[in-house]
Amino acid sequence: MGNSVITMTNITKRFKKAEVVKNFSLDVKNGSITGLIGPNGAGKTTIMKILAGLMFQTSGELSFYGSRDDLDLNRRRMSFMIEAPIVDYNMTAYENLNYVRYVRGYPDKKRIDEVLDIVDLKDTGRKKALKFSLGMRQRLGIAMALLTKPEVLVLDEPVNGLDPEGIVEVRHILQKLSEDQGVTILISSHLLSELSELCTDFSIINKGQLVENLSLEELHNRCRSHIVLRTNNTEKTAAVLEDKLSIGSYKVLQSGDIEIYEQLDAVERISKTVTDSGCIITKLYESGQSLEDYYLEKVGGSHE
Amino acid sequence: MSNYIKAELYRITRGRSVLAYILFGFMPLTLVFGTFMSDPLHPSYKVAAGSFPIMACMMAMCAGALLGKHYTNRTAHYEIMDGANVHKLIWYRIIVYTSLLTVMYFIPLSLIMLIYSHNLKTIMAIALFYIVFLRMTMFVIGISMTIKTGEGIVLAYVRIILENIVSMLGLASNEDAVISMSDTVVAIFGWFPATECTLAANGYLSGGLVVKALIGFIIEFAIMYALAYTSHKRKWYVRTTIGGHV
Repeated sequence: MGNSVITMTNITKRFKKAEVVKNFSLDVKNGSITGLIGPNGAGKTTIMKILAGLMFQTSGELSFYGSRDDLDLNRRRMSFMIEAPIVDYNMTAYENLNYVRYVRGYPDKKRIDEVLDIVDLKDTGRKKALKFSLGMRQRLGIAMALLTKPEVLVLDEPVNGLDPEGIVEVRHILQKLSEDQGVTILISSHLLSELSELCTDFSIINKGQLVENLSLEELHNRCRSHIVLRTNNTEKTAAVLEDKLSIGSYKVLQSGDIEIYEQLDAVERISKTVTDSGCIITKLYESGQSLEDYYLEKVGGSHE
Repeated sequence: MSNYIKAELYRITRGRSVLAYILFGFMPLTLVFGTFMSDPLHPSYKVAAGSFPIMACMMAMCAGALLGKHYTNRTAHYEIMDGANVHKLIWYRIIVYTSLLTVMYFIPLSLIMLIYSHNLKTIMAIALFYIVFLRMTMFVIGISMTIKTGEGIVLAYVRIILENIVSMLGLASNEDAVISMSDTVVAIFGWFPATECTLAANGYLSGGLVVKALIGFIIEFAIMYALAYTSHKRKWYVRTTIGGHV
């Protein structure tokens, strides 16, 4: 991880009177896999279209590699798959890729076979894209994005229409790209669970506004079952946890809350020991939720 | 820019409907040839000139349909996402479509005209026809790039019909002209292809008319170029949903 590759600062996009993106900020670090998560209509695609240069933001700043200039030039180092894959249905998979190769001026024709192999479309032969299944088109879209060996991949809901096996395959492809070639990836989805096994960073968006930016570790901590404890003396309490209760897995937050990740069934014993040591407990409860619950809480949805 | 030219030629030739476009394009070519040779002993540009604007429009419509498809199936997105320079985008399309139409339709037509009637007037008629043909092609390219759909070809068709009606009413050779071409609004049509071709058909073909047509072409080229450039630069006709425009 390193410098910012994509930085969006207070981006707003307005269509007539409707504000579809409001003061949205995003920072995608070099080498990271960042998930942009939000329900349908949250503004994910609009953000990606702004990144791809397909539309302008109404206000706010966009920069690539720390520069607000040369956005078009820097876009050549990136590949985008926005909305549905852009496929000419009258062409075969190979022809579609060759077309993109010409547009982007990529010299290596052998790369077409490589990417067809990566997305498992090598055997489609003369079959026109019109006859492809939704999943095949989606994979072709990914192949088109990978063709020019981009430094940054921006993918808008790339696993839409894929079966579970296909989703796992795409995940493996993206993980491999990130690990082996250090490709920076920004990927959107309306399912947090879908991205939780892939991304290193997350941005949750709802109704055009940024809800939360968090790392994978933070996400796991938020969703991990734990006991929240707060006393009038945080340092002393931490010492009691370690010395008297042998609790090693805990975290002291800036707010003064202590999150305890072990001995979750010993709330009473923790309470008694901490109180006996002279600390006054001001907060003590069990917390933790599933990824789905966490996401729904953030975007204001429900299971209903 | 060569990569965009190669890509566009590749896309056009791989398209399933390319044969249909070729056949559609041959129809006006045959019609112009037919009118030119209506008197086989005395082939004359005059008969062909009357119907040429609408034929040029039909040829240009082929280009408009191909270009419109580029936007409706969103393959045009690749050029924008590649950070393409807008001037390059406009010029490569002008080069590709005018070259294709010139080679496939206009050169054969000119050769036939020259073979059967090789005199100065025919050469001047060919020059006038080529200017008209380029003007219609530029109109279709400009409109298609501005509104970013294939529907630009409908506008081209409506325009040429309107021009034809005005020129027929205003330039009737039997001195019974219904409208005056010197009226303020109608006078503008005096600079349009249908009027220029009707004048040629009525025997008023001259160097001055060709120059006038050239000036009209330059003005329209500049307007269409500016429209296409502004539309791309300012990202006009941008929508948020799938199936929307670039």
